[in-house]
Amino acid sequence: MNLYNYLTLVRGYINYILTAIIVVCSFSLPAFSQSTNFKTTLKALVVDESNSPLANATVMINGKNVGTTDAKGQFNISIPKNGTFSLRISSIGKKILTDKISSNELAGGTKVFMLQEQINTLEAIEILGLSKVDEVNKQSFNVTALDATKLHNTSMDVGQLINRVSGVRVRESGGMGSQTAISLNGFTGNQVKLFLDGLPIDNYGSSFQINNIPINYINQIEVYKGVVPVWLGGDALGGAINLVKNTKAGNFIDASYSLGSFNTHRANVNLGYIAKNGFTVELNAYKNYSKNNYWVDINVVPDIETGVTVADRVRRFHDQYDNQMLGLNVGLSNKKWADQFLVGLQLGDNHADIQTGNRMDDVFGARFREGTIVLPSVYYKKDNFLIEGLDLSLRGSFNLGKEKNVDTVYRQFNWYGESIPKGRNSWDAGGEVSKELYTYKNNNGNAALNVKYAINPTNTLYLNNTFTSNNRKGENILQPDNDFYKQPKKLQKNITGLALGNADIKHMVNQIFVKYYAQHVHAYQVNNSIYSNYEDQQNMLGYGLASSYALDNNSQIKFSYEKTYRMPTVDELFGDVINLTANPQLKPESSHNFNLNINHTFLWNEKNALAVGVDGIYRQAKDFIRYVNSASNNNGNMTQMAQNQRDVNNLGGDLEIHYAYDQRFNIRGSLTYQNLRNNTKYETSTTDVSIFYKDRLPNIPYLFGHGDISYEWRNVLFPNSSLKVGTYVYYVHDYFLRWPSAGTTSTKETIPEQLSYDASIVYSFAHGKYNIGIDGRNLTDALLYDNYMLQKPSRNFSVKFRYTISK
Amino acid sequence: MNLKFYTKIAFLGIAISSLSACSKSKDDSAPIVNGSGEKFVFVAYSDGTAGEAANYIITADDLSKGEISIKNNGVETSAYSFLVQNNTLFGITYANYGPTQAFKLNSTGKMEKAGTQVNTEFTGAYTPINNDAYVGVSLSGGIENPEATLYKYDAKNFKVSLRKPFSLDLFKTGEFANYNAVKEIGDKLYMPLNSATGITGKSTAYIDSAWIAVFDKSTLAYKKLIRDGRIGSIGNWFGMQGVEKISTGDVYAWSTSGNALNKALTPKNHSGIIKINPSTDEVDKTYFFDVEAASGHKIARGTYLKEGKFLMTMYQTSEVGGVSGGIVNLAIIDVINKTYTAVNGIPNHAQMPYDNKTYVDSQGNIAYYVMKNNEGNFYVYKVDVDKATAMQGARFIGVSNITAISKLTY
Repeated sequence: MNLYNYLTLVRGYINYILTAIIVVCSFSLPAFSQSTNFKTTLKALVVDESNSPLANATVMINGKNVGTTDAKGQFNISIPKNGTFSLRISSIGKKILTDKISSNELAGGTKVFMLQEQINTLEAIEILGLSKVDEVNKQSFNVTALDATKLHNTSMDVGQLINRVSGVRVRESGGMGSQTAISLNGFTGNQVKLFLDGLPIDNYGSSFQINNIPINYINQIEVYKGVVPVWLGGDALGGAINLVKNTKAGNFIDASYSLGSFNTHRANVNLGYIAKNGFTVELNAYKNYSKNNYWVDINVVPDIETGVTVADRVRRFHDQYDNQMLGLNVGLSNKKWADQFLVGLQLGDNHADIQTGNRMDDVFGARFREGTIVLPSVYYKKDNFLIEGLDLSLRGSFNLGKEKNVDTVYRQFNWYGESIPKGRNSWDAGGEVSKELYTYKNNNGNAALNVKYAINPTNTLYLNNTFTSNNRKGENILQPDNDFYKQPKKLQKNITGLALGNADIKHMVNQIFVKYYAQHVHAYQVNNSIYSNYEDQQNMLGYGLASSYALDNNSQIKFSYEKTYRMPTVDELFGDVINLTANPQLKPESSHNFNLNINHTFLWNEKNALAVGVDGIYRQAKDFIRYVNSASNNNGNMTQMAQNQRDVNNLGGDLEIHYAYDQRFNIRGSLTYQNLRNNTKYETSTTDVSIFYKDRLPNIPYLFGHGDISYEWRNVLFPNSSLKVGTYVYYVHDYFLRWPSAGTTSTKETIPEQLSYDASIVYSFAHGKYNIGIDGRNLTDALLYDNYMLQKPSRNFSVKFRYTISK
Repeated sequence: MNLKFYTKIAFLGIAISSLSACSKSKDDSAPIVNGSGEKFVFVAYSDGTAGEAANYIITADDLSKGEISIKNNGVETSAYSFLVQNNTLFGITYANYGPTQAFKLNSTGKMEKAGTQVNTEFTGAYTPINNDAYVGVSLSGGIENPEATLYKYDAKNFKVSLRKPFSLDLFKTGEFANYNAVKEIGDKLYMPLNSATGITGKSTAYIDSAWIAVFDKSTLAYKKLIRDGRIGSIGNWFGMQGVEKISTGDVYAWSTSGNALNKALTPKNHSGIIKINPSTDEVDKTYFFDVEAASGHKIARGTYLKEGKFLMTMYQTSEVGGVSGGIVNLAIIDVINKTYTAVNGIPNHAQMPYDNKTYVDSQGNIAYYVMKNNEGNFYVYKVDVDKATAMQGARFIGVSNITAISKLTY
């Protein structure tokens, strides 16, 4: 080799070494770069939009990656003097920042670089604020899920929120704590089943009803109309409502207090804590109190002796409601053998004065009822239980609480709160209606086992078994020797459901299921003054399917069907002490339920979203259980008997529209039409076709709707705050109390058209940590009735303060 | 046409109308001419179950034929008990405080509400008294509180004018008294009773006695208890019948002497009629009409016609109904002459609940009786008292019971 070649070779090696050094230098920590070859130091601090330091942000200079920011968001690097260089800083979720820096600019101080939030194009679901409930709403069932967390700053109760779902009517007979019934597509009372986290709660007694549960207690409400998935095990003829409790993972406190008209106070505390070792504590406590002394327009009897009535406007005077609840769940989370294992105890009680009977002119001044809840419970959940892909959960509870009905004041009251003695005997000889001091326990137990098994990525098997037991034991202190009260009244109900979900066909989700209902009732029968045991067993097989097809990302069409049953209750089969006679031949109610839903979401200009949903429903129901006057007497009281008396058809639909702009402005509206028709061709009394055949069913609203408008301002007064203002309107078209075809129309008793307005203002600051909400209800002070002539509260206001923090 | 012609027409018109007025006072069965000032008033209970059905007050002119329907016809009311006083129909709701609403025929013969609702008592029995009032009885408090309240209702001014509680612990046997009716008997009120234990499922031990409690009509004060051991209890629960004063001034009372629920508890006494002297409130021990022996049937219900004659429904089989039930047919029973005459022209039918639905004309010659036949259809029958015959008349559509029949004028 000659000299030239040798030098080239050496130069090559030197280049290689130098490059290596440079490469090594450039990949090493900043500390190593602080070579005395570079003359100036760039001190950088990288922050986000709220001035919080950004750790691990990548810094590149002149296209070369020179390191990342430390935990304090700081970055130091030496740079060449007398030069400009390009700077590029990036961090996940943030917009990339690029800048050209001249070394002369650096005065030696720290230069702050702020990275902006990366704005992704929002999905329509996010603009509409439905992300949390989207997964439930997309199921193949006719289901509406509501996000209750959005309303945690209002002083609503759960019933008022359920009332905003199309097809649902929550009918209250007064203010806080009054009797409430849910109607779903015209099916009411026992035909609609209520669940809390998948466990039936229809027998929890008076202390835990939907119109005394505060909205902060739950996260989400799911309303299944007509076709109920197997994981809600119940004989729900009309549908099921599942309340999903407020269980945030992690640690949180949510405390609120609200004060409102009619001396109404509500307080609520929810606490959650999960320690590092998995120890979990959940606390839920609330208290409701109201005097319910709202104004009513009524015919008063100023002189009880003559009975003459005069129209007047008075305050309710005996309607106080007092209710408290404390629930504690303790256990472990995230263990190898359990995702969650919680043992809980719920304690509560309530006292409700009874102001009226079924009519408002039936006024009382002393009757009341009380109830307690003593509810131990257990919850176990494990995903991948024993086998991979097998998720299992088990929930159980037992209510040891009591109910008490008291009527011991022998006086007649009027609406001014005045009273006169009823007879000659002492003041406690009788009652306002009839003397009663009846205490009873339902001894209600519930257990639900849910198993979900993923056979393969597109096929899932669901198994549910829900068991309910009731053992009514009562005592009438006034008739301790009456054997009637000592007779057993036991009911055991077991519902097993098996479903297969399949997603093999593209864009389609299908599910078929069967349910087996078994009910065993053990009570007594009276024959010629001799009591004998009577047992009844009824088993039914129900089935159904649910299918959905996603036309595109924003459209879905769903179809579902179920043959469903409602088992008769103990009272319907065997009567009660006062005025219900037995009918052991009673059959379950049954129905074929069909649903067809189409929904579509429009999105334009990245900020406007419009969701439109159209639902069609068809129900063909048989053997509705109704009470008939049985023309017999029980020591001078007219008695009634339950009979399978009514066949019903319902063809109806509802329309729901929701428009949102930029997650700030929302307009919602829904309209429900349900055409419930009497399908019983012959009434028991005649061989001719009944004149009420095909008549609309009495006392059920058939056209109703609601709408609301709301707007949110951000960063008002303080940063990280929001001011939301909204107004709500409810509408129910008038309907008849009895058969529309019976009698001259102008003389008929009707529930008049209902139109009412609510408004709400909520101000939150410090990222929702502190909140103040003001609600106004029935702003026009209209006379509102859900049930014939039982007036609901007049215009009322409330203010709520809420503090919430979570980690 | 000239004035003379018109005058002739006018005279003719007057003559005809006076003729019809004359004939009206003699024979009420003549067809009612439209707008003549009176209507039959029915209260019909519609088909349907407890929450769906209600009473509808309908009017009719002609009961001899055709159909009377409540389809889009009738004044809807939640009242359950009805009585007529002072040309007004009073409807009492079977509920706490017994809200009472009055109804009248307006000038065109249409039924409408008169006045506002008035609170009374939870009413279990009632009867018109004098010509401007009625008396009602509140439900008893059961065995724990065996008392009830009598009240007087002013049917002219629409208000309760008097209330008087009274004890139902009248037998001193440990059982208490249930009442079946209350009737105006001269200046007193007679209240037939039956004995009850007050404990559900436990029957009374006293089945071979008839009792009547006597009250003073003006003060509503309790006077005495009448008892007779030859028949069972008088009347039936919520029946408003069982004792009546006839044209001679004497009082007669009748009993089914049966037990629908428990054959083993059937009284040994026969179904029959006893006589009571209203001035002494004592039973005439010499009089007993053993109707069961005379006819082979037990009495179900009875309505007074004229001259000691009663229109009674008689159980045709050994099955005796309670508040309702049992197969019956009509008979005319003369308590003075102790005769029994079966009525022809009406088939056997089920006893209507509580009481017979009967309207007797002012002379007592014609009675209108509503029944439900074996096909389940309701008909009104016109009964000729003297001939003891019945003829089928109009049919009711859409009803499950006829609660009351009466006649009002306008």
